[in-house]
Amino acid sequence: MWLAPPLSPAKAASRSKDRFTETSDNVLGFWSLPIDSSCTTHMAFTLRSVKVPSNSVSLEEAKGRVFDFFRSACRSIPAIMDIYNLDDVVTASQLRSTVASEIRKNSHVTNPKVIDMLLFKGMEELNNIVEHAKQRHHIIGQYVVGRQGLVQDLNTKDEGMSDFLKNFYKSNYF
Amino acid sequence: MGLGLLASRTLKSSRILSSQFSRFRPIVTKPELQSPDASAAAAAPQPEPTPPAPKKPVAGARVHFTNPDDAIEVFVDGFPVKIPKGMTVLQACEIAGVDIPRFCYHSRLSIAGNCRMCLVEVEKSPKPVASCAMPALPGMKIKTDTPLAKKAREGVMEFLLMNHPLDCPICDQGGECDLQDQSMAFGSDRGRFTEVKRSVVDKNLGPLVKTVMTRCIQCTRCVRFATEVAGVQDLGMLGRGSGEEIGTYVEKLMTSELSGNVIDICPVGALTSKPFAFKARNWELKGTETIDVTDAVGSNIRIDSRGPEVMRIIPRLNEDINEEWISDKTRFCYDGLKRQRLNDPMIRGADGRFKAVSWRDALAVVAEVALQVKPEEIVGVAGQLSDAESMMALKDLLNNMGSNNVWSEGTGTSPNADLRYRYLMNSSIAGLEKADVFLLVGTQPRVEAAMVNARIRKTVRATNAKVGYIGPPTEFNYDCQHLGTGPQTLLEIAEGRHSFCSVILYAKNPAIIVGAGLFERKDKDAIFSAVEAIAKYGKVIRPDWNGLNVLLLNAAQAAALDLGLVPESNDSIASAKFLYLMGADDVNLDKVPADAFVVYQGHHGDRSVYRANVILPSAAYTEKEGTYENTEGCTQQTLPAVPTVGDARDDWKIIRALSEVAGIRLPYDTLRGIRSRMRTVAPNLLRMDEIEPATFGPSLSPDITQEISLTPFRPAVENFYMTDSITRASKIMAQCSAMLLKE
Ligand code: SF4
Ligand code: FES
Repeated sequence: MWLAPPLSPAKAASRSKDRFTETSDNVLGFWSLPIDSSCTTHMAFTLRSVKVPSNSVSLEEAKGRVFDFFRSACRSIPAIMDIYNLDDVVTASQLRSTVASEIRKNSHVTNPKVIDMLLFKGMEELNNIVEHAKQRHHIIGQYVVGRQGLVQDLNTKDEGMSDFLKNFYKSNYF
Repeated sequence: MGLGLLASRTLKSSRILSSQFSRFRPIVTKPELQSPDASAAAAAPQPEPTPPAPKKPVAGARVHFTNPDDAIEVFVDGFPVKIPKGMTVLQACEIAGVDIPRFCYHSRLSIAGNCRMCLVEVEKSPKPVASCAMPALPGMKIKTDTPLAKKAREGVMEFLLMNHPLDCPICDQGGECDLQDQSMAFGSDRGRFTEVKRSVVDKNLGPLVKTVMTRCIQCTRCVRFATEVAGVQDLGMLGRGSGEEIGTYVEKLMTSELSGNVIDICPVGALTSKPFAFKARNWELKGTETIDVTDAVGSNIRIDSRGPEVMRIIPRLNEDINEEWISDKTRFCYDGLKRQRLNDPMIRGADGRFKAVSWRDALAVVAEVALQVKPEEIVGVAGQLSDAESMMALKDLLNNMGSNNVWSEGTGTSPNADLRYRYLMNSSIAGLEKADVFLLVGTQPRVEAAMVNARIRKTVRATNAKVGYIGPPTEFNYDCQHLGTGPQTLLEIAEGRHSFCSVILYAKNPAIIVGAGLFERKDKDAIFSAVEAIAKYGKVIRPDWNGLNVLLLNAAQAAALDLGLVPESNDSIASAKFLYLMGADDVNLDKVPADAFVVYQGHHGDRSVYRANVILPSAAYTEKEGTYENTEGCTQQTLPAVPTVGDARDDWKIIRALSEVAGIRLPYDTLRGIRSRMRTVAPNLLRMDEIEPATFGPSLSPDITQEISLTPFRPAVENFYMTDSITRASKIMAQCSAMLLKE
């Protein structure tokens, strides 16, 4: 589902140019985060200097890292919107709340080691996005439209509805 | 061992030869076939191999001995088989489990014996015999596997291929071609023919059958089919020798409602389906065994689909219903499934245009309106293609809302749903073959139910049964006495004043067939009592024979009446405020009040959509599992062959969902659940592939005091090719009606 016509080569070239400038300054906050270097072997230049983070010693430290991560993700959102040409499908604030809700999904986790691991995965994902390792439809599919698919007529009346009706609204085959 | 060596040596030498003199390609057939005696002599010293165990009959062929004394014994490849007298050698071989290659022989057509592919060796006969034309005699020793028989087949194949073009790669029959298969199995590996092949001008047989006459092998199956089964003398054989051609004698289209069947019986690719031409290869198709719903016969069909698309429809064998034929409407209506489809729920806006909405919104709107109107202003009509499950759900839904005005199209006002014999074909379709006199009352079986008509024609041909017809002038493809056009004649027969009475009186098994078109008449009860009077004095209903038949028009009718879809009042539609049309396109909507809210649930944007306020898209018969009861009371099931279009849902699911949104939730969530509900209403609808005979005799019917009106009967079907929403959307059917119904 193409909401905008594919880029023309010239436009793409110029965009990729300012992508590099963007990543080198705007996202720096994010890159300076401590990150496991093993994951960065193929993403070269920006992360060469980072060290393997030590594990969070306490839940507080892990929490702090989560906030750091959220902040860096928010900071890279304008760049992401530009790279993937998302202005006409979503706003920055919508993306921010998507990120927040992705993080909140794991709010029940209390083990610092698990939080570290989730953080690591999150950073890897963010890195991939900022690196333009994905394409526009990946972003739209995962973060704009969401997991529920295109049709999202969520209704408050849904409670008390039978499974039959829920399935019926989804598809003919159940 | 000796043979193998010999063969390999010959092969080797031939290869050398051919490389040296490649211009003169030597033809070497297998040497042991060259001289049967020599090979027999060579084989003689070998120890006799132990014969394999007897085989099973081909395709489950069964022998039916009418008289045990008539059984004779013959030997097929050394095994004794018992067969009734009068069977041919080929049939005897089939019962012994030996499949004889054949081109011209077809079990449902007369024997022509002109292809010679079926040659077998019979002991003490000097030459190989054509087994399809040779009656088996007691003690005959038939050999199907001897070198002589093999050589004969190889020779016949070579002759047939002489003039057959080498266009298998572009031929639609490729992959299901008898000639292809049999030349692989029995043919020589090379031909000796170096002349120019003949070519034949293609004939125009109309919009359905494509001809490539150069491929024809002159088996004459198509000619025999047209004259014997279809009953039209359109096809024939012209010319002699190598000038022999199949054709219509004059430039003429093939105007038969069964013409599509020549595609199936043609063993080669000479007659193929025009709409299917170059669309798909048969090995990439998925076959789904299901049934047809375009008329009330319920012909057994196979839907061949590729991905989400129906590519073609071909018949399936069912001796009791359609034998192995289907009508052209059944076969070619499928392109209507791709046109005019409804794929999203839609609501008509204030500007009169439809706007696509979500199911949630559509159902909410419908439920809201339905709950506001008075129960007696709610009316539901089931269309002619509805399956039993959805009709059950519709009836339950409307009854729960407090309305009893739900009926099925074509059943007319106050149908007699309590007396089952009054709306079924009581003697069953296959049973019609036992009849020796037919009285057709207000029905034109040729357009109403082509397969029933084929049965009647078969009977007329086989036993010279007499046919009398009361109704508007129409065409028959068998001898038929036109007795009159209206109830006047019926009354005369009922009162014994007509000359046809004696014919009925002296008949052994008289059959009366009443058309369901009469259901729409006001005086239908009086007509039925007249028919029953005839049945009484003609002894049409006896313990061993029930010849009182009603020929229904629509696939949904029988099940609807079994489920009791009967309107409470006759003109409820004129006072309706909420009208639920479940695929009903042939109801007269003129009388619907302007402020009525009309819901159309269906798969095609056909007539009723113009008046609808909300459209709920549903699945067509190729896309759903549904129960249908045919005109003889035989319950059958469709199976989904392709996925539904767009956002459509199965009919019963829509109604079930609507019921929940409206707050009167129906108690079934699955097909199984709805079927157990059906069991409480009409248990026969759960007994698949069984005919449930009607139980009550006419003695239980109430006395009728209605006055019979003398207006003549009218034809029930105007255009054979376009009777329902699918066929009306089909381009092929439109072409057929334009070209074949011209006159
Ligand atoms: S057209 Fe087909 S069925 Fe007819 S004679 Fe030729 S090969 Fe036989
Ligand atoms: S099948 Fe016997 S001659 Fe053709």
